[in-house]
Amino acid sequence: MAPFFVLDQVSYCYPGSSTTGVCQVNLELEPGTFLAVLGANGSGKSTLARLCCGLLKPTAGRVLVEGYSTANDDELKEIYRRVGLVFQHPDNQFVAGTVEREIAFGVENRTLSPAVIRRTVDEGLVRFGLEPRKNVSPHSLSGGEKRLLSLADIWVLKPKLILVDEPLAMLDPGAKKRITRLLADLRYSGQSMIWFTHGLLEALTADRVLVMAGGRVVWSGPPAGLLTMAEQARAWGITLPPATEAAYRLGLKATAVTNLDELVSVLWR
Amino acid sequence: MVYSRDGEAKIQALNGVSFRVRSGEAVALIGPVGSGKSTLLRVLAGLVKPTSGRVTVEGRKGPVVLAIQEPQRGFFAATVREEVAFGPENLDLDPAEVAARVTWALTAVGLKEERWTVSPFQLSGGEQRRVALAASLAMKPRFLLLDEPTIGLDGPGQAALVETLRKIKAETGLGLLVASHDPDFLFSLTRRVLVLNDGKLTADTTWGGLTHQGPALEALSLELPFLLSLLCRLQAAGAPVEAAQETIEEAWAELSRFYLGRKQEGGDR
Ligand SMILES: Nc1ncnc2c1ncn2[C@@H]1O[C@H](COP(=O)(O)OP(=O)(O)OP(=O)(O)O)[C@@H](O)[C@H]1O
Ligand SMILES: Nc1ncnc2c1ncn2[C@@H]1O[C@H](COP(=O)(O)OP(=O)(O)OP(=O)(O)O)[C@@H](O)[C@H]1O
Ligand SMILES: [Mg+2]
Ligand SMILES: [Mg+2]
Repeated sequence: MAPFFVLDQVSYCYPGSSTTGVCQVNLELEPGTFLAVLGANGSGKSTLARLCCGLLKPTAGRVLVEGYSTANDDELKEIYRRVGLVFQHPDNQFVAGTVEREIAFGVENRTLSPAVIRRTVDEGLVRFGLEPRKNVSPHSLSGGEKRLLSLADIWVLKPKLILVDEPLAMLDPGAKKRITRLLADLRYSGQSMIWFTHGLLEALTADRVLVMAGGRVVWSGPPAGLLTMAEQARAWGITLPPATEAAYRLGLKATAVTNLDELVSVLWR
Repeated sequence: MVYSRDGEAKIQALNGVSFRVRSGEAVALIGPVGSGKSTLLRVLAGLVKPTSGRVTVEGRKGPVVLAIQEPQRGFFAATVREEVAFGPENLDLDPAEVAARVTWALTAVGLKEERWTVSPFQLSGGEQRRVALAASLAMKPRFLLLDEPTIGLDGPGQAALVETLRKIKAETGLGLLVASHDPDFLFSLTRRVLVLNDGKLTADTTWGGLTHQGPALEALSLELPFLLSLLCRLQAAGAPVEAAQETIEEAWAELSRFYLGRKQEGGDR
């Protein structure tokens, strides 16, 4: 059987641009994996995200989803059924005139019974707190409401691979926690996830981390590995968890500290 | 001040909000997703008219400038330099002064010089945020309204923004009103905090004042800055610290004092 998800020497140059978007990235993903892609502004994360779901086609190399290649137009339909991207800018994702129609759009493209469609859309509206705003235009939502809608859009489709590009941006602290839990739960249902960000805190529970710089993968390993190389991680534009930064600043052995509870117990036993 | 949005159903986005800001003061604006922060900033910037109530600005001359939450929605110029130059040009400055301001602002936000001549639409999300912030800074406002300025910015980008704002504040007495879901960022800039919920101002206080309202904040999906959460937890556990600190410097001093004391005790034993 073909591996679930493969990037084979994938490169992308934007037309008419001298900077490389993404350069020779290799990756193989097992089903049920949580991968985090970290890197500075302009390092190529969003470009890679768009390559992974077929929105961009590699200028060299191949992106394969269960054997289907994003390079072949007649296979894109199969790819879209399996891979869903939550955009960095939600506005670019929306296609429908109301919040409810927006969530329904993708679901209706699957051959499902009207009752299942109704139930799925309602669940999306409720899960993401959008029920009260279901009749307004997606573009007239507040920033955080847009982020929640963009997540709901893809979440209801239950793709085998969900790509989230800075999914917590624009959310308040409580919503950040709720969405983190919701995305973490995908794993238990066997879905895979690639999470693009510059914050290590969001990547701490990942199975593996890729760090990008200048379009290339410059480091790969478990998230805890980055805690032991704080200087280098900061130089790659990565923000460390606030508890880790505080521990470093106090001169503690900071690498074991990633959250408030741990820091409190180190400081006051 | 009251502001209602039209649409299929009227939404009251702001409800009887009143406050004053002194010249040169820095104020944080927090509130859950959809609470009316962006609407309030748009009203203050004169982009939308309140349905009742008024906004008055007194004293020293100089522009009031808003850096919007979704910068990519405001771009129109052909190159980054032109985008940043647009505001200062409309202030009737001489071209040399405009050019100098553009260079200064783009340097201050840390955008790589090779990106200054490309279209703002051909940038990564974090690069776009930097351009939008540079465009606001280049206006040399007397009062700057920032809507979620850290969204999309990587570690170095956030550090550059804090440093720049602090410097301008010290040198020119810039007034600031910053809406953000990142309490750590806000704590590094302000003493005073406004809390907005469902269009109403529910608190006009300081960071120190908020340390007594932990549960109320949590109920609003909000959080204290990390350092204040840490001090609160230590204090609650019986550690000899005072959690109600007003600035990030004071909070650090308090934490360091406590930690050094602990080390000393450990050494004496
Ligand atoms: N539409 C485009 N046309 C040309 N160049 C682009 C375009 N979009 C991005 N780039 C460039 O490609 C490089 C990678 O951009 P990308 O958006 O993938 O970065 P990123 O890692 O997602 O950054 P951020 O953290 O700021 O979102 C950057 O140098 C960027 O300026
Ligand atoms: N253009 C618009 N037309 C109609 N309603 C709007 C519009 N913009 C915002 N609203 C609504 O007004 C309310 C306040 O929105 P606002 O954008 O001010 O919130 P916010 O506090 O900035 O939220 P966020 O933290 O998500 O950015 C929300 O319920 C929102 O859906
Ligand atoms: Mg990006
Ligand atoms: Mg807003």
